[in-house]
Amino acid sequence: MSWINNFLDGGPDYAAERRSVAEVQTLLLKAGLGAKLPLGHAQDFAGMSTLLMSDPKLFAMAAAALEGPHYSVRSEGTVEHMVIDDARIAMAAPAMADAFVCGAARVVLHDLDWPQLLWPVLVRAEQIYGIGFEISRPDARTVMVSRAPQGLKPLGGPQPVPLEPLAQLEKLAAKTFVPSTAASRQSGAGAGLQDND
Amino acid sequence: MAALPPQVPLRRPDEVMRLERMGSMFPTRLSFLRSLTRRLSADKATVTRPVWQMDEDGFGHAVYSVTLGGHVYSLVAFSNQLDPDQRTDRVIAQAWDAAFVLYDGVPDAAEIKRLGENAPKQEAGRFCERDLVLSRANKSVRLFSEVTKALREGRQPDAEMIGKIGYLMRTTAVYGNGKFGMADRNVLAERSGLEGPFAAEMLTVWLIRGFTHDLAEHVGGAELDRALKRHLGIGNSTGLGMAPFLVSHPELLNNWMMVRETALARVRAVPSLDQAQRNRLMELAERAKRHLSQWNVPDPEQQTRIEQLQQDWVDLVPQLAELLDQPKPLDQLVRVSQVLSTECQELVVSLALEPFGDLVDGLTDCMGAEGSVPLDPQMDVAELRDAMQRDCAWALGYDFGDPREDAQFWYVSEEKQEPRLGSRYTEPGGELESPLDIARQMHDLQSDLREVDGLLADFLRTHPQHRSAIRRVQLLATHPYAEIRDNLICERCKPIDMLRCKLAFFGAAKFDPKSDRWTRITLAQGAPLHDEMDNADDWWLPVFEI
Repeated sequence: MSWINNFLDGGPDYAAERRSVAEVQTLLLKAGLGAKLPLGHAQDFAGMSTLLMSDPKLFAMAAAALEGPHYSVRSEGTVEHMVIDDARIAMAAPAMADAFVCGAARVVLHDLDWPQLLWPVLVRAEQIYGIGFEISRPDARTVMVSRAPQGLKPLGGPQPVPLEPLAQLEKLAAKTFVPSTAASRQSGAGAGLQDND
Repeated sequence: MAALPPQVPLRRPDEVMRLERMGSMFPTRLSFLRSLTRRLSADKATVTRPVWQMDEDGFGHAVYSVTLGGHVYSLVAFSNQLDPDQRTDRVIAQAWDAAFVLYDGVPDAAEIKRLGENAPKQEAGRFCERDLVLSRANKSVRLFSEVTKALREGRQPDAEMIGKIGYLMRTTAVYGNGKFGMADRNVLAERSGLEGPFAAEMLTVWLIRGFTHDLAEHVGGAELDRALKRHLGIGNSTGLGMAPFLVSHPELLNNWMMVRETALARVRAVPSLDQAQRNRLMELAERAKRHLSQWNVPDPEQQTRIEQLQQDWVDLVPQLAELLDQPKPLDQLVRVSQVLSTECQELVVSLALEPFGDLVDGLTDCMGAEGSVPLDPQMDVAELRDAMQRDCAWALGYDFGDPREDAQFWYVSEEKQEPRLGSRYTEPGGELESPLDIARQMHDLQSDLREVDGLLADFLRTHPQHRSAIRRVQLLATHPYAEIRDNLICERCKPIDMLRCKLAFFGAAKFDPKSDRWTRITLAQGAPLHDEMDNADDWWLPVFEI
């Protein structure tokens, strides 16, 4: 059983610590890059940090969603009605937002990995593009997002973040770090090794 | 609504946003530290020192408080004994001579204790929303020792040494914006006086500077001469960590440069000068000449540039009287400077702005940027191609098949996450490089856009790797100064140019490069002391006169 299933089965009292929004935003970006998410997608994902911090479960799902693997969306349909198959939220979310900005009335996502993350994704899209949404679930494998004038219920403010997903994100972020060598220590960075002048 | 002042056309981004020019910039009256001291002066701010608990060797802690915009902020300073073996300005350092926190309010004993347990650990400490800025500093061992020894001996310290070094301590990091749990930027965004970029950080370094004076006087047991103190700024050692900021904050970079260029365009449009303005410019030009004569560095390349600048300035100043009598005199001055070195051209820009606060200071309100401009997926691919031809020609001409064009890679070391720059073809880790390869990203985007039609949203679904580059291309239509228009991974790229640009916006002078990737500088040299806020603004390019 993966860490996320264990985490979601536990609770509601999670070991958690306060983090600033900027810290989480930076961590999400680095974790996304560590998991080989395309840069622009990692930036969009990190842009949801305030919303993801509103709930420990959402935060944990975000950490799980970033783990990947990440591949281009498989889509079909029309401008008004797009369908994304085998949807992975980290890759599908920007494509879905783009579709709505371009006039889509409805986007259908099949086999979406983390349907709960649609909430922060769409609230964020509402904030940026001023489009209202509603979510429906016609069957277990399908999530349908449609335009709606009233929009979604807002999420709360940032809460302390649960430690287990935080550690998972830090592991992903660490994949972007380059091992240090004597040569890189000496010449790769600024400043000398001693400054007693 | 009042009409905007007239202005000439702005200098083109292709001219301004080059590393060579950015690496030749000087502080101006728009620099953040200047804006801050003007604001402190307008608020009639007074600094108090409610806590001073130092032993006779100068180890202990202190608290300084100041009211700005109706809020009280306190610098909590911790002075520690440091083994010389541990004194390094690098990110990988584990201990420092002093650690500082800018605190929101006045800390009680419990809060000072909390900060005392965390601030000396710096990156390894944890902080809270009351903590706004974290910093640390190392002593200039030679000068601190000379100053305290002299004071103990009942004399003033060696003025020549003060002139040469210029600071008692140098900060090696100044962290804000939520790092390590500190307050997020939005806490300060609406705070009058600290709403501008890096204002809280500048307040911190200005307060630290006063602390270094007090510490030296405490250890020396006597007062430093006020003129000497005023020339003692706060040093700073800056490495590669500062450079990626300019790339990862394109809207902010644009706004800083746009304000500076707009200010220049306004003064260039001034039709004529009165006698007082002419005299002021002549006086400032002479001051700049003396300042340059006091700027000498060990780095041979920078020293050569300084000597060329000194010569250019000597050649230019005698022409000033005639130039300033002509119509649009500052435009004439800028035009005449075009045949001189880039350093000289940029010093002319800085000089031209200095006497015209009423015309340009209000622009500093536009130097911030909240949030990112969103991508527009409705754009047609052909439109994006046109935009690239119009705004990104600088990026499209590089031949990335030539190993010289991607010879370097930026990365973060696992060792304390220190930012470093590697040689792609001789060092491991290139596959983990940080995304500062903007020209290459745009180049790759252009390749994939060939013979594609339709909506950008469709292109993005099949080419998600270009999402960031497309956003940057689109941004240039409204933010023309958002990109450094050079290849940041080629063998010619010198990070020091990016550092100087950012540091000049902070208000730094006396750039003292130690290699092509780190520099020492001095901030707040000549700036008003904590009790001199009634004389706050006339310290552009200060001169040491003892």
